[in-house]
Amino acid sequence: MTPEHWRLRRANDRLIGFKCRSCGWVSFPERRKTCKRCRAAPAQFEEIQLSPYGKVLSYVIQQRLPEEFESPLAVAVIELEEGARLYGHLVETSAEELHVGLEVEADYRVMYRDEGLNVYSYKFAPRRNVAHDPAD
Amino acid sequence: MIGIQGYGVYIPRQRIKLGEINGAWGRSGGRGELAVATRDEDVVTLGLKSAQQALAAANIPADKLGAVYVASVSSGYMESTVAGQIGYALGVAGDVSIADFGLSTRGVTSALRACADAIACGRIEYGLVVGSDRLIARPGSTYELSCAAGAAAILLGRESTGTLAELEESAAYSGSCLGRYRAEGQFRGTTDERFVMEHSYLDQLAGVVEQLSRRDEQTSWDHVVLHAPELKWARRALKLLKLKPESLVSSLGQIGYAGCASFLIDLALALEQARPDEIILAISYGPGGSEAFTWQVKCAPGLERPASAQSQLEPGENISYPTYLRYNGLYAQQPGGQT
Repeated sequence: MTPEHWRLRRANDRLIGFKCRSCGWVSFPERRKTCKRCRAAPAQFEEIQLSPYGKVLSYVIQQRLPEEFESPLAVAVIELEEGARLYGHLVETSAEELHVGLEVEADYRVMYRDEGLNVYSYKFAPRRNVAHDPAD
Repeated sequence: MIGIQGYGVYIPRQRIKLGEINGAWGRSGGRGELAVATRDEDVVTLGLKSAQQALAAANIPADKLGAVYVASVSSGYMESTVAGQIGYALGVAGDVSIADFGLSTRGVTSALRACADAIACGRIEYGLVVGSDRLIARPGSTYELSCAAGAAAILLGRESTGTLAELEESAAYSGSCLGRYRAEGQFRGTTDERFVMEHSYLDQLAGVVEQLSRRDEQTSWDHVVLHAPELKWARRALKLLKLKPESLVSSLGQIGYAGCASFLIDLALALEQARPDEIILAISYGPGGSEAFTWQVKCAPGLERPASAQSQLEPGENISYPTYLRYNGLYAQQPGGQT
């Protein structure tokens, strides 16, 4: 059976999204059969390279999780510049700086391990102009 | 001529103070810090970030790369490819040459050599060399006071107007003592480090510098980058090689030792500190010998660029020893089991 991480590889590793040719809605990470906005079915999607930048639309902070996860863990609905909306883990984000509208950037991380293989995707971190701003 | 067209450095923000590690084991003292990767980082994620920065700095799209070569001694895989994963995530073209250089920290210069050769013979136009390591030592061992994480990438290409430094001369040397070794699943520090350093490291470094001096008849260089797992060995090497102590460029004191990555991080630091026409000597070491390269600086990038190597040496977020163990996957051992 094809593992899911293989099917989603272009989205997960290269931030490739799928734009509806009829209405411009962007699906990420799945390539859907129907368009969620204009309901075109079957929808025609074109692949687009998404920008790594977006903003937080909503978030929750998970306090108690199984030991495979770091806790507290912030999970957010993020909208990328092209309009794609996705659930993302936030990393290197303090509770004080987290707010709706926070500008974030994609941060490539290990998502989980599948029988010894690290599977990667993008999590999100506050957008910093330099990698290490001493003022942070 | 072959030149460095761009570079990128990625050092994790988390730091553990050596005093914190010593305190956990009932020891006192310890100055300095180590860069620590979080649970969801590995040599692929660290390496990719440095690679993306190198391409962005040189303004070269990933599909122009003819080679992605990655050197690491800590990928954790017996069979897999870090270079393939990094190349794919970068968006390289299908005909790119992909190779992993492992099993020795010398691998970082084997990768540089392979890339420079491929450009010199006209097979490729640009090649990316990445050094990425996350070294994890046995808790309580002296190695724990130096092992760290980081990555750096160097983009090589034919010399052009934007070239940062030009490859001048190179030499290789393999002596009789093969150096340190580590079997599958073992922690670093299986070998007697002092024996290895005295009988292999110092011997190979002296050998390779002698080879280099025969070629370009130079005995002094403006900036020296050399592989050393600890500052005391870097200082001993400088003394042996009769090099000025102030010529050493090293990140060991600020972030610790990150194997193949340290060599390229220090080369990036040297580029940022250098002035045009100065010469950088960079010497690698690992099981199987040493290689040395000299670079003539053309257009120093300076410290103003975003995410400079120097800026990433700044202290980051301090973590506790239990957090450090958790990040390194060392917290879930069996009671009474071997660590």
